[in-house]
Amino acid sequence: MTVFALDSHRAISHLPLAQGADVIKFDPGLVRAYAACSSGVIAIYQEDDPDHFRKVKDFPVQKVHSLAVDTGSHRIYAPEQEENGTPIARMIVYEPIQSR
Amino acid sequence: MSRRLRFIVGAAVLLASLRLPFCLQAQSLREVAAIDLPGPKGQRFDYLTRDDEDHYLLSAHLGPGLLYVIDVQTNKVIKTIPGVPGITGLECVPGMRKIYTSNWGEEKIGVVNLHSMSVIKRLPTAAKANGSVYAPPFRKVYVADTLGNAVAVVDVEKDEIVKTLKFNSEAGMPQYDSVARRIYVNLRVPMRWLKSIQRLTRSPESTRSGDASTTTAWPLIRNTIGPSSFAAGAGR
Repeated sequence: MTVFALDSHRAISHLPLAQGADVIKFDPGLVRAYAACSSGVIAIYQEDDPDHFRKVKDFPVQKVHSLAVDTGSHRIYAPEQEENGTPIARMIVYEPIQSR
Repeated sequence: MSRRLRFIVGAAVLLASLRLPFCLQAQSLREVAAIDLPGPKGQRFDYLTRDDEDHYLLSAHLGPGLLYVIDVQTNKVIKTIPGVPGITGLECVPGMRKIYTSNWGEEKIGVVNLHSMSVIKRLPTAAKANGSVYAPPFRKVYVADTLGNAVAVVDVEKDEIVKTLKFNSEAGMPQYDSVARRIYVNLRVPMRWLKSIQRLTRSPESTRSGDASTTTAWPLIRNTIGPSSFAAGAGR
């Protein structure tokens, strides 16, 4: 995952990304980015300040291609077409929690 | 402890308590709901977008060509809109209660009215309409036609394509920079070009070992398709 600074037109950070990454979204309230990966994770990144970013974790999910962030509730929505190989049509809703 | 020191410590604790929940403590996710969608199971979904005014989540179900309207306050599907074949990208225009859909299956951009919850217009466009973005000051939606090597510029007042920008490469997902008032488009090299370049630039070592990952093609391609490959002034 590359962070590209629009003011300087430079890539300022490169972080590991799981396979099959597709849609990436940013939550400005939590200053976090989420990337949907078809390998079965939502990759979570944290902005510590505008010049410093870090990968938090690969959160395991089913195979996902896209996601959306509700910037008011900070909830994440990701549609799934299969669950452990069984066909489904379902929108999964996630919310941030404290990590211990 | 002096009053001054107590004030400094107190301020530090207050600042930490305000900042910590957002940047340090909230570091994982948990599933809180699962919304069953009425379309056929096992078929591919694509982009999502939000309509913050109505508290809607809009979800493109590419396989069956359906657009779901979900109320995020109740987590209920309030409407399934048909007639958007091969829907990939979708973009909401705030204040107009309209959604612009990229209908790959019919090579058209659909205009969906959220009052009537139906498709009210279809705009023929170049091949594989895909990701899209809205630039509010210009009242225009920019739709990447990936296989048509183009970006269609849609005037949201007229619901017409007012300009088509052509490129010598496939057009990826566009983004709008509200500060610089520019649209950025990833121009990506078609796979057939990648294969040709890989063949031409494969090192003798990799050819012997059969390890394609050590060819010199990838640095070349990465330099070619960076995010700043193209920046066009929005509305032009």
